[in-house]
Amino acid sequence: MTVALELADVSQEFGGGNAWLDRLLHRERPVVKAVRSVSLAIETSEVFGLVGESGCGKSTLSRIAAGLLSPSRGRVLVDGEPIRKRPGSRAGLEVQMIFQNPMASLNPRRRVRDIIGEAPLMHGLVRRAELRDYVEALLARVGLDAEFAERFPHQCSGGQRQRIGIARALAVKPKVLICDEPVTALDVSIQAHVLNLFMELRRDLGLTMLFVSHDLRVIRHVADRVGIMYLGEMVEIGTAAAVLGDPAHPYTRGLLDSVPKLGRGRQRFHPVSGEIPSPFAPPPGCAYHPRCPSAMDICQREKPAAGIAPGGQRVACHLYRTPAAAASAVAGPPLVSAV
Amino acid sequence: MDAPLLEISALTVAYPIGGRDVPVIDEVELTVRRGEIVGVVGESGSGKTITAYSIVRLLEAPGRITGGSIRFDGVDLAMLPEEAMRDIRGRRIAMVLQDPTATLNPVLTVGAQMAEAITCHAAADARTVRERCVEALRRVGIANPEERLQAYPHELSGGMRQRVAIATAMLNGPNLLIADEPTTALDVTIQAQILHEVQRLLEESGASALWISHDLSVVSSIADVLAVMYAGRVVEEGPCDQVIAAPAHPYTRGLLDAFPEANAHGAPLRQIPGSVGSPAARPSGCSFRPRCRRATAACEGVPERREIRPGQFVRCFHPLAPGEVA
Repeated sequence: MTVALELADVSQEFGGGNAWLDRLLHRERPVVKAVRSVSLAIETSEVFGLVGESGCGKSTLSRIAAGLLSPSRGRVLVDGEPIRKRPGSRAGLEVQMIFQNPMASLNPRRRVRDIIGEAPLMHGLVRRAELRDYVEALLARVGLDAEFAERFPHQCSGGQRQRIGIARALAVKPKVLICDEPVTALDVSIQAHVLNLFMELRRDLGLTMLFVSHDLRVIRHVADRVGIMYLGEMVEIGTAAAVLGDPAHPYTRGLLDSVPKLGRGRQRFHPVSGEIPSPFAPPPGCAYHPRCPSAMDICQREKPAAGIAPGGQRVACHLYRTPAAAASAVAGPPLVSAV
Repeated sequence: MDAPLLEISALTVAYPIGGRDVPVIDEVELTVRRGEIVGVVGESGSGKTITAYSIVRLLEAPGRITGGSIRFDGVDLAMLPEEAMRDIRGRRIAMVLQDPTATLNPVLTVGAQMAEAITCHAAADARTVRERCVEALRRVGIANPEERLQAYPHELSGGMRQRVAIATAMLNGPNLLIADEPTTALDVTIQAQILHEVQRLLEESGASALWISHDLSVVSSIADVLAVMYAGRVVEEGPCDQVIAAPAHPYTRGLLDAFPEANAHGAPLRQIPGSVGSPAARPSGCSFRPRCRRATAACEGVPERREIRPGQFVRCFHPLAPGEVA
């Protein structure tokens, strides 16, 4: 297998710097480390699911992967070539992004025909005379009638707008799709339509996907491998079966136990305590230790290095350094029980 | 058995569109018994929020109740003068909405707006008010409640703001809590915290709740009774576990089947074809018929509400037997 998209030790900081006004007033602007040393390689035709709560850096990471942000440190490689290497390079087109809110990402004043057709025309992928057929073929590909070409975004439903967003991304023949919460804003029945479309595209076009979602059920369904992020760091990464079926990191377990289960009757929740700390002042040591039911002394002092969990996934947690500690953590009490 | 706390029958709300009254909810039937949590699920445009707003009579003009009754503890709220309604709203029926940034006043401290919720219904001295506010915040799991009273909403996280909204709603010991998508905007670990706190609060106070959500799994994890709305009607209602185990309406079946966990990994998700139309363009008869695989000519008439299994009501000409696929 070849690696289609690689993020090598990527970090992203926001803020800081010293504007003249700050120097004058002798104040320092705070720095947020939104993403901290994340490495990730996605193979061709693989769907990688990225999961995390607000502020964990998953959207920043997906923007870096799409080439929309240049990381403060680290490199992004598409087919082994740096993204955005030179103007006119195909590397920029090969990665396309699909956004959460299509109403905000589609130009409200332009017809669907122009929204989809502009980029391939600009990049010389299609001649003007063939544009009409090209756009209509793309609409058919995402399950929309040719008549949608003449509509404006506001004349379409939420699900239809998301299909248009997908058609626009496909128009430049990308190899990799970065999907940032693409079904979050949709109703359940429409969510199923759009998820099925993503699965079809992957099967028919061999697309590679970075699929970002806070919804573990969606990720479990579509992803081959999964990464769990917490406060800018990747805490667990491995096959979907291992990470979601036999989670190793206490945070992953807390997340999975927080998801309401369908058809299990009334549940008694035993939620993870506390809130996500501010990324301006992340806790020392392991960032999760203030909320972790298995926290030890070492967790407050030392940042855990990545180890290998019994299920084969990589996990950044001190529990997986000593076999005895790992065994006692696995035997811990379940976090949700039926009433 | 006691008379139900809330009994909505044949409630219809209409908005004038293009010169005629278009019903957005149509003959809605819903019953909340004392101490019970009733979950209402439906997709956008199903009328679940309109139903909630009708109960507290906060419908935005030009929408209005054109028929039916809302009996709350023996009184028809649809007929009540505004003066009397104001006494019930916030005291006996409280509400929590999806977005706490929109419900909390950004220029008042948490303490000031919580105090207002008490003093607008009854006179109380400052010390009692303060003690009640502190106690209410403590009960929703807020650490250092005395300090939090001084905070402005923007100084709190989303989860914390929603806790303040819930604490405020519970201040006057309401008989009914209406919660409209209260955890939709929250992260999953915070959602679990809030569901946990609310379950405990309701058990302790014995209050009933109407819990509205688009997420069937959230509702099924806390509700005793489940009502499924589609295009302005309650299409199915019954004991929550029973409806989920053996849905009778093809739409309920379709919603359950569309859940990723109800499908094999990576397999195409079973889907309901088509989408919900706008209220102005609803089909006659059963509104679900253009999307329904079981639809026949009979479905052009409006299906009556009938009891198909004990306590389980459905509006459908071709209901499903237990275990039958749609």
